[in-house]
Amino acid sequence: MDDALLALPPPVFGVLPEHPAFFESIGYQINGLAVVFIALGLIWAVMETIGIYFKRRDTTQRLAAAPPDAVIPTAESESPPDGQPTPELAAVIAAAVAFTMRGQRYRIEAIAPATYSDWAREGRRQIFASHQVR
Amino acid sequence: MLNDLIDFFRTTGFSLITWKMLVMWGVAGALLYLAIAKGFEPLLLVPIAFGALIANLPTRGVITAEMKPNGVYETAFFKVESQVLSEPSAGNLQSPSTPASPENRRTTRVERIEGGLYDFISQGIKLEIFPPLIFLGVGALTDFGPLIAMPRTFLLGAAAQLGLFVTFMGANLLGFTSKQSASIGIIGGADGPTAIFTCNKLAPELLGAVAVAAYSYMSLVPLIQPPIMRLLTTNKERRIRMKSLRKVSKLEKLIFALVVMIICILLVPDASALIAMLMLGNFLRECAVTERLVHASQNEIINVLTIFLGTSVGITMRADSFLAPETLKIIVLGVVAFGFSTAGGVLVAKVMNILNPHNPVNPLIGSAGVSAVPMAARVSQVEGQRYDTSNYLLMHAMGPNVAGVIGTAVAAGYFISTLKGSL
Repeated sequence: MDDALLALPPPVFGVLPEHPAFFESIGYQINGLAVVFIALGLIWAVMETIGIYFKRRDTTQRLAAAPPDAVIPTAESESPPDGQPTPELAAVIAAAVAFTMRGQRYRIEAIAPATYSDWAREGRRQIFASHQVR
Repeated sequence: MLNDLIDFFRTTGFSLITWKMLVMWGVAGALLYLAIAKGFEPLLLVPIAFGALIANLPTRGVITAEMKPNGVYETAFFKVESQVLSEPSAGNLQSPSTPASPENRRTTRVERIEGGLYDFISQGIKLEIFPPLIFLGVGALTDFGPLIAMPRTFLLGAAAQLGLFVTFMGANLLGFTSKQSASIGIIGGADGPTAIFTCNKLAPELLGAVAVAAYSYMSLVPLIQPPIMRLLTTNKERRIRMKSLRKVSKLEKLIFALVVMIICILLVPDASALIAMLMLGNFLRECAVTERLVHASQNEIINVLTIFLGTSVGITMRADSFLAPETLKIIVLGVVAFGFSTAGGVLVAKVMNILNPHNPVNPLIGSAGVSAVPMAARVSQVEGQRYDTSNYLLMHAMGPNVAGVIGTAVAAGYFISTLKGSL
């Protein structure tokens, strides 16, 4: 760097003597924090801009991948499509969850049919529980 | 016969033991206890403590140390025996500052290099090879996905560098020089390799104390941070739930590595070695076609270097240089640095919520802006769950956590570039 630039006062270029004065030191710290914020802020701005493109691309790809004739269930439909719970079943599940989670915050995000038998699992649990662990 | 035995005793190391050495054995023992019994950063504290023990035994052929006229211990140097083959002509001799012209160059034949084991291994620190290579491994181990998915957490990583600069002033007021103050302040970044890199460039005489303080406090993050986090946040703030992070593509991660490297090196060239290696390691990881290299970086390279770095740092902890009031001051200033860094991250998270109330961040993730990866992020998660058991902050906290690594490297670059030429 040019010597003339280094000769500028510390608040601009932060060149400090071995034992700087109090305000000299504060100016140096502010400069340092500013450099860190500028560097990371710049990366943030660039990545945010790049992220906009990628978010749009993801949305477009998702829409393109969706089946064009997907059936959207309406409130009036009496028999929901395969795999979807009936309104009655959804109400029963919601009530069961509310009872189980009482006192805690929760949110039901999906209801999916179980792919295994809970009866078999409960049977296994009871058998294991009946053994004494030494 | 008795005289022979006495003569033999004089050749043993027992006669060279001093009370200061015994104190340092206690210090090494305490560090080993923290590492082994308490599990505090054992991968680093064990080699450091072991190195400290070696440094305070009357060893031969391990490391050379010499007291310089200014009272500073210089370690890890070796003697080169060489034969002068051609002398420069007297008329062409120039001052050392001017570049040597071909006619006044001296040709020598190196016949023997004499030094202890760690005179050579410690060159990895002296020549600033170990910290950047460790960053290669860190880059290969780090997933920047959470940060890319939520880049605004870069601000938290930047804010958590507050401690570095506040401690700089504190150290200056306590009588340390600017270079020493910067080396002490960098402890607040909670990034061991960066602290060693900076300290070696600016104040190598403090290397042992700074490294021990940095790694000890990194391991104490779960004890230091929570009280500050609780003090600065309300119950409501601690329960804030953040939106799920989007999935980040491979291409985006590759672009990120390049963008970070280019911007940081352009802005602070003195941090080039650290940033370049960090991003090289990450690029190798994300490009998914260099599996063997990634594996080597994540395992063999970083493991071997950790052993050498730890012991090389420990071996600088000789009683004569470590048992000084300065060491105690550095230990105290290290806590101050950590505290302010934690507070900086939390407070800026609160400011971000005021500016953008529709998409708030949980201020508890602000504390993760200190680098200590992934310990600081885990602290945010544990604290968050304390107040809402179904609130998972870990992935959100990883954003500022890895941003802190970049922020600390940038701060180190600032210190080095502005101070290396100062008086």
